[in-house]
Amino acid sequence: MKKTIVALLLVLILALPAFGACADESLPFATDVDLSEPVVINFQVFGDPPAGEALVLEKINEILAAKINTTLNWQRVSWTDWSTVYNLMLATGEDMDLITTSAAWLGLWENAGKGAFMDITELLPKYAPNIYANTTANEWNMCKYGGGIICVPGNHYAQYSNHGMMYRGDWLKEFGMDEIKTIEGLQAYWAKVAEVYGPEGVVPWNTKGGVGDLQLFNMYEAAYAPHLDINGLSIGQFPSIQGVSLEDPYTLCQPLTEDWFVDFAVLMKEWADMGFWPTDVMNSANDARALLKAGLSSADQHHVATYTGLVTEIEREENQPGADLKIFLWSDLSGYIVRESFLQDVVAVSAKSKNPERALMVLDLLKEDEEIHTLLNYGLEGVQYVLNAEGKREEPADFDTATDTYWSDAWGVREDKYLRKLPHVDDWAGKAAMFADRLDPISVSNPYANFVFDSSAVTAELTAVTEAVNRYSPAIQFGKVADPQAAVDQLREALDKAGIQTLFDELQRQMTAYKESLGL
Amino acid sequence: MPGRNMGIAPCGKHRSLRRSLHKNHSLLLMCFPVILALLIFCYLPMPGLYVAFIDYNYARGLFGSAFVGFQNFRPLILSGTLWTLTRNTILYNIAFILTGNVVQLIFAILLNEIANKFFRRTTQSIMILPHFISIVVVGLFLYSIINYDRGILNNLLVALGQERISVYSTPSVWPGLLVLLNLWKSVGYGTIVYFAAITGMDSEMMEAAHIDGATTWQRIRYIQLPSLRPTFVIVLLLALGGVMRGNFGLFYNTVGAQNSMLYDVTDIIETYVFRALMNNFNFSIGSAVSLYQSVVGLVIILSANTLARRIDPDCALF
Amino acid sequence: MLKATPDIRRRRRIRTDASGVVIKAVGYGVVTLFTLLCIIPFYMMVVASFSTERQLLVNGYRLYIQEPTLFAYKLVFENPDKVIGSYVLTILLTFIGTAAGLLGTAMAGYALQRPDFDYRNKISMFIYFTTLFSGGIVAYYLLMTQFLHLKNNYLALLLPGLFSPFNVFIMRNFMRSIPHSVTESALIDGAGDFKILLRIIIPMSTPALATLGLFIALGYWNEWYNALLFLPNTKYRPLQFFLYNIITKQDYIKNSAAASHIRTADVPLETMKMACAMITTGPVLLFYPFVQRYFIKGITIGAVKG
Repeated sequence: MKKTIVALLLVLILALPAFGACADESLPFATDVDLSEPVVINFQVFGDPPAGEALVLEKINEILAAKINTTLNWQRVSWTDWSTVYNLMLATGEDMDLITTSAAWLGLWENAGKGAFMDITELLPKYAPNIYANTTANEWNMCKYGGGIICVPGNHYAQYSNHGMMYRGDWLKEFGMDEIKTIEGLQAYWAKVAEVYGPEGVVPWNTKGGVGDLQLFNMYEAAYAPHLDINGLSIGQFPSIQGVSLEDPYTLCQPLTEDWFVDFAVLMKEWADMGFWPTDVMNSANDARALLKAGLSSADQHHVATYTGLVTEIEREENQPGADLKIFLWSDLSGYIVRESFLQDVVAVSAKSKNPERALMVLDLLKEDEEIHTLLNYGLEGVQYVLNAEGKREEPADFDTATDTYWSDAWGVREDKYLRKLPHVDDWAGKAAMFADRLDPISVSNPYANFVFDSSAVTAELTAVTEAVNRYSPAIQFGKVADPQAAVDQLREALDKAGIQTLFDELQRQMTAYKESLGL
Repeated sequence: MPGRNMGIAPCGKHRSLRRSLHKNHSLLLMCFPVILALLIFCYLPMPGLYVAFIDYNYARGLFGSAFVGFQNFRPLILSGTLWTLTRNTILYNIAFILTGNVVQLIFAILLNEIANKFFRRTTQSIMILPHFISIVVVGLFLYSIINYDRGILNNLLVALGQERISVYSTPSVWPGLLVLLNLWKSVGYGTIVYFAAITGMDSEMMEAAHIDGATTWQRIRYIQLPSLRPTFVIVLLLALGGVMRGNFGLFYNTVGAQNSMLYDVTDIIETYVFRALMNNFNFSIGSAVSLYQSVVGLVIILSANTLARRIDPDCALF
Repeated sequence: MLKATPDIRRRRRIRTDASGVVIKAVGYGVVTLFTLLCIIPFYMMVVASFSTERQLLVNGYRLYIQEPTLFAYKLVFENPDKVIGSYVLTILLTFIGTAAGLLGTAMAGYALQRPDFDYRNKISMFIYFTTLFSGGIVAYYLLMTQFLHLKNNYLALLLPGLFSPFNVFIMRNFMRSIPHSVTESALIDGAGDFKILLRIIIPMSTPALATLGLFIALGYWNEWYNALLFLPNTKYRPLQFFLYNIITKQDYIKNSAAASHIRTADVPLETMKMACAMITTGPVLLFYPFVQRYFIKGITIGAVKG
């Protein structure tokens, strides 16, 4: 009962801004802004441009030029070696006005600490009046570093990026099993897959032991010791320092020293020996998603956002029609999801931007002007999409992927209030229900919201601990060890040597200070 | 004009400098483009090494950031693996340099003995192909050949009634395998230098040797090998400067970034840095490691160059 | 120039002795074997590029094509002007870079081997030092973007790669094999240093020039990192950049938190990677024999000189 009420409240909260925006006209910019000089705003985004981008950008720029005498230019960072290029651009601050960043994976707080972003507290109300008005004071508080607002949050786009294991519902049914809700359930499913489809070349989880694929640890932890990840803090691929629990987030712990970690290592070795993944998994380049689509993997690990797309994609004729893709979420085990979407995709203004005022004006229009927003996210009507009888988007008959393909890489510029007006025919119908029934009720706000770890006193320890974790964790996760207990001991010894205690003490000290600053 | 060298007057440093500049001006001019380019692209950024000693703050810039001394070098020492990493890196590189150059030298000599022009040209073209195959792709191919479950090699063994072998969990195989892979990738390219050195040789001497009744083997042993020595030593010395720089691409893509079963014998400085900075991007620590490599490299090359100079001044680099 | 091919004539005259036969036999054997080792992976690449994605996923890399398809090539050539533009850019870059680089390298190499050049050791040291120490990527990036202003400028691809210490030293070494007496007698005849280099030394060093030219050309052909750093917004990028981007893209985004943002259609296929590799490597196969002629020519000149 309580859960339902919370869910209803959340739905209402999510829906409210949408009503609000429909009701009134957008706020005008201050009248005393000097717009006489034409200005180009460089917006840094990731990935290579889609083929149809030029035409869309031209149209956007037409409108921007007419409204504020400004044009937009995408400053792109290719995926090859992106982390070097992105960090170099941040370090030198060149040629960027607006920057794509994220507390989850692009080091929002670390880079704020290094002085990469501009304090826009003063500029916001004047140059981005609509964004300013549509974001609550509490939300702005979460965007503050050192007292000033340093980014524009992605607060009006509902998304979940909590991880889980996707698997085939049709095979599950064939095996006469119930939906997977436990680790034992997953084990039973994989064992059956190996038995029934193994001879045909199917590997239960046909993956590679690549960077970032160590999610089974998180699964096990969610079931046996649901500690809390400290957002933005990444010390190796297994979280070596975490908050104890949702009830007591400000007391820290070292999960890798706990007893259950040995049990985990033992279970993973069993799974490896049962052939749940390729024998040489740590060297394989297998792409579990492609193999799932090709019918050669019974599972693929990723998060909700990926699942909501893949669930319809897999039904296409060239993939596995009838696969009935399902997902076993770690949150099914832990019983909570820490809401991250707020700072998942954010936009910051470069500290060295020469035109921060215009940059914010552009951002305000991109986010809040319905015409521009729709153009940016969906492209041109008639070229990228046409509306069918039900008002849903679909590709025009003469759509040519070689010239017309379009998507937006400005992830921080997505507003549900506009996006939801024009759904695509291929959008998964079950998404709303999944969010409302399975995710929203158990999502909680992040207790660490804008906790920023200042690591300058322990950089050496942080680096050495990261290395130690990254050195031993893949082998443990994939059961590629002769003796799990010995491997765990080795890891713990390496962590000690690397100075994890020093790091832990410093982190705990700062966390306690943070807790006090919250008045708790 | 041999007399020129003796022309430097012992009096007045200033005057002798001017005279020497005047005498050498056209040769200096010839070096000018190279000097200018290296000055701009290599020397101008060198103050950037300072980043290894600071806590780099983007807003304050390189020289406004806090100086932290040798803090950034600490992670290397903390892990206690510095010695293993240094040893692995140096040993692998020495193995790569020696095997590479010896094999390249042999190939160049053999190719020179092959009279069939078509054969020689075709094989030489094909031999440099591996140089072009991206190491990422090499890693993919290697996996499809040696992986345990479905690799070509194991399929073959099974077909022959043999046991499967698990290369990826057998550390002892890897040093040899890596040396072979490196050979495969570099032999064709490196052979070009030695082949050109042979073709550029004084054919007068060859003819004379032939007339004197020297056998092919004698010709190779007593004429070609000695005249290839300076090239060999110079290539060796040039390579030695990089003896502390591991071939990250090769190790990362063939051994794998995650395969800790093989770390004892395959972990090099670069793979360590990759793991250490994977989750926390840090220019300063990367720079500190690089500086450490440079300094050790400098010590090694200075010793080697002194040694080379003692043996034959012509062979020394500087 | 000589009309006959003295190369072959000269060789025919050499009497084959026992050791010669053995060495020849070993030569043919070893070289053939190694060539096979080099061509098989390349052949696997060709096969993969013409295979269907499914075949590749099911069977891995194999030695024969099961269901031949041009799909991967069609994908790569979806934007033909981009591929062709890359080609033109890379070819231009390679030609200009090689010509300029070779000239500078030859000049420096010649000067540095002259025993009567007072500064040869100091300059050699100056050149060699750069192979040991580098200022690191931050400083290099600052230099290129803020001082030289080479962002989105094709010169950012050309200038940094012109001269390498390795090439200068190899050139110096090659030119040493030309007796100093050649230079000395020309000096006595009153020729200037530049004239000696251009008229006498360069014509005598064709194998060296061909070799180093090839190295410089290969360097430019393989160039991608400067393009990655400095050419984010230009219309055309070099071929290898194209290839690298396609090969690595998948690995990076598959495991990064960014994955949810990437359209699946945007993730390149395995077969496409192979097709791209073919497109970038193929021309080298055609180009290389052309360079090789100069080695033979070098021998010819050697013979004339003898």
